[in-house]
Amino acid sequence: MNRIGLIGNPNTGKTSLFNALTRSYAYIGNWSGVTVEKKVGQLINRQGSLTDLPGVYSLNPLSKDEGVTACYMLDEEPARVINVVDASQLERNLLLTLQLLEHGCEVVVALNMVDLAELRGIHVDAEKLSRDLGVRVVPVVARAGKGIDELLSSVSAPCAAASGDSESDDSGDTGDSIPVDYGPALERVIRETMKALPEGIKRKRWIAVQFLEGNEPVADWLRRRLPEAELLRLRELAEKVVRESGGSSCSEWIRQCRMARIKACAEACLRLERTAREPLSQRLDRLLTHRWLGIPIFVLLMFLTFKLTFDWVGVRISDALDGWMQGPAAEALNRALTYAGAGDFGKALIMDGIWAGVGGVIVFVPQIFILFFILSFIEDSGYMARIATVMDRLLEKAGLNGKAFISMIIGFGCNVPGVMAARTIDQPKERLIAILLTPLMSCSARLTVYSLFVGTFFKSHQAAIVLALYVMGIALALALAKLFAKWIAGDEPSVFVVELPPYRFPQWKTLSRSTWEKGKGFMRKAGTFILGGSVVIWLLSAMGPSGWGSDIRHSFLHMLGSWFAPLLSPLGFGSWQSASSLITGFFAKEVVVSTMNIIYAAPTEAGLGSELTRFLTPLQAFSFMAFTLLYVPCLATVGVIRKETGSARWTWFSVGYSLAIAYIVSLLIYRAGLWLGMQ
Amino acid sequence: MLFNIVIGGIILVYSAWALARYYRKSRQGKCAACDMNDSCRSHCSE
Repeated sequence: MNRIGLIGNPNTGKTSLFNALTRSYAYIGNWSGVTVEKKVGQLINRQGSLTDLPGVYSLNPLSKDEGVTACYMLDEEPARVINVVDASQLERNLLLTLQLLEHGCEVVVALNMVDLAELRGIHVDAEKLSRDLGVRVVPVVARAGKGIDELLSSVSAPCAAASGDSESDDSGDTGDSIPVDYGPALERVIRETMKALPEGIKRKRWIAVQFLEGNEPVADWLRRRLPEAELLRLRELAEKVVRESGGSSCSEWIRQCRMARIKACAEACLRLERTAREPLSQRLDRLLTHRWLGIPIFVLLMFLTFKLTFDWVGVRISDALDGWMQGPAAEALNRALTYAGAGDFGKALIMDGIWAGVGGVIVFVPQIFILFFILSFIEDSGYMARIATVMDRLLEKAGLNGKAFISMIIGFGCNVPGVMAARTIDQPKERLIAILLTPLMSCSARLTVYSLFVGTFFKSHQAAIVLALYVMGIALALALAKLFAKWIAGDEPSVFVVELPPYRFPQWKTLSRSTWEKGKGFMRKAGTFILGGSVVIWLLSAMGPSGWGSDIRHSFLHMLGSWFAPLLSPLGFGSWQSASSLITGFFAKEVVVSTMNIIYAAPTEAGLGSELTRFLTPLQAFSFMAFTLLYVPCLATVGVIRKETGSARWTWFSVGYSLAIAYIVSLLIYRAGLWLGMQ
Repeated sequence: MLFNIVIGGIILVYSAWALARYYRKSRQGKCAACDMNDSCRSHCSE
């Protein structure tokens, strides 16, 4: 099997290229840190498999996601890699290319975004670059599909290693073929390290250089094969010879040798042309990343997003869908069930359980898709990276950095990938804080609760109320970041480097696919977990200690809600219905709405709304929404927090602190509202 | 009656399966599904 790795710096278009080469679809965003795990797809000509890896600047990892790429190169030993290089950032990208050449696998350079580079007056001579590096270089524009056929044929041919040329195992051993010469003294230590490696190990030179440079995954790998004392001796020897040669440290010496090699290469292949006009991206950035205007502009754009989602477009489609589902569609299903001979049990199970529970959530799909569409637009246009830059100043005051905000923004879609995205944060303690705070971001599942409540209680201020909830989540995250940073992170310095890609108008194809990919998980969940949950909730509402078919006031669901309801009374929603909905909502936040539909036996959104107004006032409804936003992450998020932190203690902490915060915030909202004379 | 038993049975079995699968996946997290999980020692298996 022709196994090919796809490797490059962050935000060079690897995932776009992956999609073009495999016809599969992976998530794309015009900003760093989109790929945090590898993805494997089959080449469209079925001549091999392609693995998309997280973006890295070097094979020596700094963060958790970069470790995925380093251990892939070490353990998977791909026969060939496609190195995606951003044509407008050639010099910085070549640092990784040189390390790949040292690895000894066959490298094909995909020189991406040549169109944007040309626009900026940067001309790369692909032929000269190919001669200089001794590898094939294919100019491509991944987003537009240009150069893909040539690249595909370049990587589909059998490679040297696969055709039996095992000499390449120790490529780079001989002086003539080494990509970078580190000087006679360090080269002697490299050769000594290579000799110390056990027989049968491939990529000896690469392993030796990476080890001496301080690559920890490589050092761990070597510790299982060589005595610790020997490894220590080799590292000390390398440091000694570097100092004798006038260098400050071995890793710095290696970097300088590579930079000198890159400079020579760039001089031969790169031609820069001064452009008279300042690029549009820079002009836009002066406004969008302005010190004082940046955040207000971001908040205004969020407000417009919610206006579009709730007031202008989304709610109209949702109402129409609701009318159809609970009108003609429900009648048709009812008739079909009668025709099929369904009895009372069958009809109640399907109509009162599944149709009410799942249908109650499905009606909000248009709003969720509109929100995802706008999020995709923000990502692909390049604005997302600017938001992180703007928020970095605020987060810095709170003791975090802008990368944490990227996790949080992804958390707006779903908290699970948001928690996963925290892997791009280099500092372990900052990563932990980002993981703990991401669940405070309002995910799309909570949107179903907001849609129902703002449509019922705040008809004329829907967008403003939802914006207030989103901002509340962000503000609390910032305040808690400050607290957690003091408590957990101590004085560890933080580093924030994020690519600011040029702005571009997103392609419709990318936008529609990206929206669908985000939204399809919601649809799938409706057909699986929410359906199953609705059935269980319906059974609990129809069964009680006295048996089957008992009145809902004597059901198990009533009993469960009644136990917890007194605890919620101080918050303004101490009914058993609210308590039951919140308990079941722990499994998935959409289930809050499903449970209400079943409990109130009100299948339509409008019907449920009028039922709710009998039990809640607008102030109590807002308190309930705030509680739903903040109380415990859903089950799937808890599972991911457990995996990502590797600690049951932190997982319990994330559940416990969010519950406490939710209680305090809702209590404050309700009591302050009452004090101000609100209802 | 037969309809109630057949459809009711199918729905209940499917619901139980869907809930169990969701619970299992939630416990696993995404790393468990990654096919590099066995070989990646530096970070993924944490």
